[in-house]
Amino acid sequence: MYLSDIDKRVIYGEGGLANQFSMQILIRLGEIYGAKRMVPIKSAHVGCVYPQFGAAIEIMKKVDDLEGEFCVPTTANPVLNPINFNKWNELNEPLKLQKLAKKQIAYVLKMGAIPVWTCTPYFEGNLPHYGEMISWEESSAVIFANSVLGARSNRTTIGVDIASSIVGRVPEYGLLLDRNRKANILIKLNFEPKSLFEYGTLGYIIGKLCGGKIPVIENLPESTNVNHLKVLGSSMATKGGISIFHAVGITPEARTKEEAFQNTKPEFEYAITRKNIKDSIIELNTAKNKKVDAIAIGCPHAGIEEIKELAILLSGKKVNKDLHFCIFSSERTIELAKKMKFVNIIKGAGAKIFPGSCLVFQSTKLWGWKSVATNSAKYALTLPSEPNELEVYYTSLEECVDLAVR
Amino acid sequence: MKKLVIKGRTISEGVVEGIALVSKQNFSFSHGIDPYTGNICDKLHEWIGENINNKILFFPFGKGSTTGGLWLLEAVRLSNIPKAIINLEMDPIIASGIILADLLYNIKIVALDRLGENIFDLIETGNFIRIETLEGKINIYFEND
Repeated sequence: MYLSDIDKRVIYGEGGLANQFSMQILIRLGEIYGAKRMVPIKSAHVGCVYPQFGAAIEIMKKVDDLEGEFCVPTTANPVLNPINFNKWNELNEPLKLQKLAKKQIAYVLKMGAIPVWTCTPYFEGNLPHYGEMISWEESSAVIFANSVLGARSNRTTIGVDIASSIVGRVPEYGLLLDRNRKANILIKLNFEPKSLFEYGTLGYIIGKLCGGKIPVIENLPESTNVNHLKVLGSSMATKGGISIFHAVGITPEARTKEEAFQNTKPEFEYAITRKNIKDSIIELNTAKNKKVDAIAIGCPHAGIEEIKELAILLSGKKVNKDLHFCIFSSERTIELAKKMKFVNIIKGAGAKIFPGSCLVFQSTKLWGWKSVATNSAKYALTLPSEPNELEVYYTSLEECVDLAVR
Repeated sequence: MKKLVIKGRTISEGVVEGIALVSKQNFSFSHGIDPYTGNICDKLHEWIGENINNKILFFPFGKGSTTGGLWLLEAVRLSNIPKAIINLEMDPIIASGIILADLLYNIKIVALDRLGENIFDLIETGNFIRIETLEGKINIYFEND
């Protein structure tokens, strides 16, 4: 790999020990993936996952010992509990885990993380422009940035995310290069998706059909909005490991079908019908019946429109006492929802709204939860596995509310 | 022992010996192993019941969550360490785990890919194997019936 004078100065230690350590990680990764050079990034998004893993804490401790600081704006993903650890006892997290999470959070804050604690950083001021190089973690945010915004990010992982924020540079490989953003599969829709629930299901189907490939979706309806695209990408990424999709006439690298395919022919074409959606809803359903312990909304984090929809649905209703209704969103979105009086209505109905976190981090097993209902395909895919091992009743937002209030 | 001089890519070099664990199924370290014991815990994988410690792992591709690298690194921290990982094409998630195992814990896991699909038919689970990499050359010695 070609190293510029900047890179060389960093690797020789002129930028400090943390930069040198980080550069070692990035150069080794770049050499494996055939990167020809390092390129500067303008923003990063990092995660604080698995505080119970000593290795997760030790990486941060190492960088902190070397006095590492993020040199580009770096937002942070949801954590166990970012706001107030005492308050979190509402959901009764084991003290030991709380303590470790607190330590991890302290490290990223010290490095300069912007504490948005959300998986939708693009709604919280971390908004890359078209063609901008970034280094993001969180699969649903990466696919959104690549596809909807036309920014360029590989899915980064442990250590690499912190290293690139510290150095402000990344090896140029994968989705940073034009040729690797070329679509190879054509998806034709024979129906019109209507709700977030249906867009999430569609993403699941595309993920299943196009694992590891790059799909182009033709004829998404004009009513498609950014929240739909957020949810569509999230289940596509979780099911198929996909980090970029194109939608003709909607996403910036697909003004035409030909542009998305970079004037090549699709390897495969699939047509998706409403029947496929119905079948997939059944497929994603792992619950034995509709009697669930909790309702989980907000994966990815609920936007203000979704909270509004919930407030309308919950208005004047009461959630059953033996059931937990949990909504996950960002702190700033919840502040807006308070000003718009949605939070009053939601709390009045007995539902709870949690800032900056996610159900996947919570000790649901310890609480005795066996099953949840959700309208999120990503939750339907992730909650059945460790550490939650929940059965999921996958259904529309309307039915989630119905189940909770009847 | 049979000797195989094979073309491929050396991601992390070294000389190691151990027992092979071979699968044509893709594998994720995230939820795929218990870092505290090294036991395979992916109930849907044919390796269920096996252990990664000191093994030479052959599987085609990584899959699943980006946290896979951290699960591997946590197993390394707790001394449940595979001797080598051999893929058809190694993804950045596993590669990151291997790079950090070296830079953080000074543990070198030999890593190779692009050896061709043939290797998954030549070598079986339980075979005793020796891998040597030197200046881009890869020699694999193996014993099977």
